[in-house]
Amino acid sequence: MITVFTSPVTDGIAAVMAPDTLMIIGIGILIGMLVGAFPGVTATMAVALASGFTLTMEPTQGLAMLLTIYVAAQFGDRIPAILINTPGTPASIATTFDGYPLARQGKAGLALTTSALGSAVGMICGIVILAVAAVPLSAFAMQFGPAEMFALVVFGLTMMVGVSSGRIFKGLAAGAFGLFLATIGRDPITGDQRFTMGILELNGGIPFIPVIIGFFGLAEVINQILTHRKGKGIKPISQMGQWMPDGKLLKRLAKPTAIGAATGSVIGLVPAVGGDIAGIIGWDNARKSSKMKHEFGKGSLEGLTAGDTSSTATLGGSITTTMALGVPGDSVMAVMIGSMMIWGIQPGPGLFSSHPDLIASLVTILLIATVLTLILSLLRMKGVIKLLELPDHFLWVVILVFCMVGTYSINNSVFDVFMMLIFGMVGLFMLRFGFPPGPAVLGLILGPLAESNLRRALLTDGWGSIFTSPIAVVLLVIAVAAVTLPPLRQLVRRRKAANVGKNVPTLQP
Amino acid sequence: MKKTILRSAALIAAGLLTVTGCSANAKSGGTADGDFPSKDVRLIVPWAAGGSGDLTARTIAPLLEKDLGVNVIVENKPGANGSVAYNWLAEQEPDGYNLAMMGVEVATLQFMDYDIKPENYAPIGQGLAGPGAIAVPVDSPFKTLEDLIAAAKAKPGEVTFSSPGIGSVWDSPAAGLQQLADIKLTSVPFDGSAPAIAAAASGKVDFSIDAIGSQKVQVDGGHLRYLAMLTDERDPDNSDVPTAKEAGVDLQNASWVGIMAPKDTPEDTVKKLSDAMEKATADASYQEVIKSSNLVPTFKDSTEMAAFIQDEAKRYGPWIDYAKNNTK
Repeated sequence: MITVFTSPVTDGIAAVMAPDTLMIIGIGILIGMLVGAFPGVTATMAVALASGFTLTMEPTQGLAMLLTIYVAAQFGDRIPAILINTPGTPASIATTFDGYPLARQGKAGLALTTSALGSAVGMICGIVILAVAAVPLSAFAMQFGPAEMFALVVFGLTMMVGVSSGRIFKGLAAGAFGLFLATIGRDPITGDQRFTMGILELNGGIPFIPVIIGFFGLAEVINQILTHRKGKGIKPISQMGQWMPDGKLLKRLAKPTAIGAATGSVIGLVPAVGGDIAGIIGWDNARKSSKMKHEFGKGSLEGLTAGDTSSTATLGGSITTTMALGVPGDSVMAVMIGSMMIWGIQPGPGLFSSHPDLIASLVTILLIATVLTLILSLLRMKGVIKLLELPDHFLWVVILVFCMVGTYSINNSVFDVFMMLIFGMVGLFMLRFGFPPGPAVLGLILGPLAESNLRRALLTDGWGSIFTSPIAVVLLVIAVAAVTLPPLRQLVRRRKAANVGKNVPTLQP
Repeated sequence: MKKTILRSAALIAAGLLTVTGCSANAKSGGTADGDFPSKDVRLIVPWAAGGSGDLTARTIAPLLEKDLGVNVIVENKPGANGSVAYNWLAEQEPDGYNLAMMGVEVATLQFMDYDIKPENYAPIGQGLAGPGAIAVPVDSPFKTLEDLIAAAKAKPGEVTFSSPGIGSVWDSPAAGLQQLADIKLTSVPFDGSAPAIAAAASGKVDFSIDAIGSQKVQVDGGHLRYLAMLTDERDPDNSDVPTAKEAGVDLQNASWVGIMAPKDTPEDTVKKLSDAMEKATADASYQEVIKSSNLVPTFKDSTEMAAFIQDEAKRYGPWIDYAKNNTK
């Protein structure tokens, strides 16, 4: 499909290679990395605000600015996730699972490099998909109606077991709590109030970003403040050992990278589902197929890589669905559609035939942005890590301020800050009593999607609309298998071991 | 040494952010005086950054600045269907320095158990309109609106449509359609226009009722076909598509975006703002941005707007009641 010497492709590339466009990419990278690193400030918000300034630019330059911010934010948001357990944007929730434990073990440098490399690989996989198969794949994405979305979300909910880090019952309890939180607000179909307790802001539901900042960031800080005198975990965490992964490690990471890239690429195509969910699903897929399952959630480089690769790999898919269908692939893309229309580019089924050079331009912008951001991330790694050398009490204050200001800036809302504080306390309770926060967050994100899509599917054609859709049925079967197979397999193995003799399998030293 | 620099840099950054955070929250005092405006005006957007309402605010703000001679600062305050911002505005000093963008929700949220009354605001003007249409999947058996109505009469409740959510600007006229044509349809509410239109484009529901401009992408892309326009006269860009009125259903609807101030804002201040808005909406750059978003630049002044909002409330009230009673 792509021959290097046809004119639309070279035109598209040449348009990006102009010096002023390259300069804009540079500015975009700086903005993106900054917003990414700042908890609460999402890529969506940064792109929305920047779109005000890009309206007067040439389309290529404007696209360069917005896409670069988007790409760079995906790298920047890993930093607070790894260093201070607070996802910079929701896309790096899965990064906290293994990234923060790694930092606690003194491997922050290695975690940051691995994460950046994984993110870059994911990004490039997504870009390749965009370049090679944008149009046919968008036809697949079009098939995702309420029934298919519901099935996908059910599959996503089975991840609760995986992110429970071995504490299945506490994990499921946390998940149920998350699902309950998801019911607060207006009924998605009838618009009736549910559990809003007369609080106006609750009509919009429990705001999701304040909850993750509370759960991961604030809860962790308070826990440290409470426990630092008890002699446990006061070992100052600073960088030790290697920075760059060596050949042996890279080889071990190849499999989780591939799993992450595949997971993210597929999920990215589904409209309205983004990097946050893909990261968690990619992480869990890698866990299931890993030989070192027990390391996941306790500082596994495999888990870190898989989650990060998966969440960035969604980007190519999101752009594909957005450009080829006119249906936003995620919230950032919803903003991009608005800007593109102002430039006279109408995203939708006719886009790639009316603007054949556009794919080439998009791919070039994304590739340049990814490579430059990766280089920049690796270069300033050593400076960033100095943050960990701050004495604990200074670091706590910095994190607290970041949590508060970041949360306020989402909607300019004091209510959100209160929510963050409340859920910080809830998170602290969960941390102290061993309830993993992952399943609760998963329930909160996926609950509304599951409910509204199920009810939409039922409204259109009853249960028939779910069971007559091949995609939905396959996804539901996978979901059932994901829950039932691991315990069954364990049971079978135990039986076999019992039959052979008293050979109960033990962990090999 | 390096450590100290880093530490102080972090503290300064944190400090700055706190200060800016606070200043954004500081309540502006001051009362109405003869020489409005004498300081910066705040324009609150009740929606998240990025939508067409937000875009309108950001396009119109620099034009208002030019005319008023002070800064117009755009700030997003989304939440609870816009009611967070509307409630906030109602509590502000009525001096013209605090304004908010508004949509039809100002008139309709009261029917959805929100405590938002149109009487609490002084409208400044309307900036744009997004007239509506009914569109069906391109391979739909319905060739005309009459076909659709006949099918719905034959099998009540079996014809489905997607809407951006109950009580919204596009779910409500569908209630109007059912009342006027005496038919029963099944509403499938989505979370916003984009997924609702996409669902119709992929044939998951039988038709989409939304703004002409929002459906345009899928019509141009060959997935949707306009069945009828919810306009008074045929749309000049789609002159082959009849209006609903021609099909015997006298139904018109359009989404709109405007600007308002708290009630009791002095009349001459409202007038000044309204005049500035009229000039801004006539500006070529504003017209271009709005038109390329597939919307229609439209201006109504403060007096026309006050009457218009009352009319909208009268139209939407029964529609929303109907929708609430007929949604499973």
